[in-house]
Amino acid sequence: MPPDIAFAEVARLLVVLHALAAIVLIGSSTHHLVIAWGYLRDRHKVRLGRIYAATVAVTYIVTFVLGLLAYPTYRYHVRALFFDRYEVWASNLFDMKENLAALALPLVVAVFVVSRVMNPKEDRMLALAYFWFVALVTSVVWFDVISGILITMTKGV
Amino acid sequence: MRKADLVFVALALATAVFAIAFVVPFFTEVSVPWYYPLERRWALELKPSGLAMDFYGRTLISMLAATVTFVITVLVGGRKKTPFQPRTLGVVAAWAITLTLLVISYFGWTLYSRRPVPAPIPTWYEPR
Repeated sequence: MPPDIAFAEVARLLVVLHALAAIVLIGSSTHHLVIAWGYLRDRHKVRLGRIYAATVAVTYIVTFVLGLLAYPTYRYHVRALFFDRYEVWASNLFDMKENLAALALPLVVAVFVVSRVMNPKEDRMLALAYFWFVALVTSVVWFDVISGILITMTKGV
Repeated sequence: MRKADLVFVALALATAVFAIAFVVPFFTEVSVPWYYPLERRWALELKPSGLAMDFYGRTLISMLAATVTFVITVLVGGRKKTPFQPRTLGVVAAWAITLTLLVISYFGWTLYSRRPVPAPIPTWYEPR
């Protein structure tokens, strides 16, 4: 008898929703990076930058939470029973993906909050720091999306 | 004291503390909340006694540490009479990014060659 794992019966739905949220996230974070780069080149689309920062914050948290809910099912049915035995690289890649996702969380929050209080025309150093924070978040998002696709192609919940 | 600068410094320090707190359990004897998915229970312990996940616990502890850091920085920094120099903003941003990248590198290094122990195959298991 399979064990009773939390949210196992809706794990596939959770992963689909997780992927859909990630689609919005990767688009908004990439656009946000372009806007943040524009701040350094005196192209100050501040309102658009704030919209993207807010969209990234919301979709990042939604994607993260959906992943948290699907994680117990993955941890046993995919990783423990299959990846750890037959596809160790996928097991390790997933752990890298999750750790990156967590480490980028405070950056996502920081970017959202700073986007509301910063004036990139006047705050040059802040705009530079903001750009690097956004660049790191966007890099993590791209890594996680590509990793997630590779992992799910190998075996999903 | 500009609000934007204080908020940024507090958030950058919180980010740095998050990264440190996230990786500290791998270097010190500190208990973290472990979740046992098969038993649906939590346990605060150093090492798990079965199939367990520490991701939830480490993330929660790191979030708490970062939040405390943010609050303390805002309270202490709010009393500062002189504004933050642009160089200070650059230095705290650099530290936040550098520490995050160092922790990322640590995980990349350790996970690259990790050999996890697979769980025993149960009798009901049918591979798909």
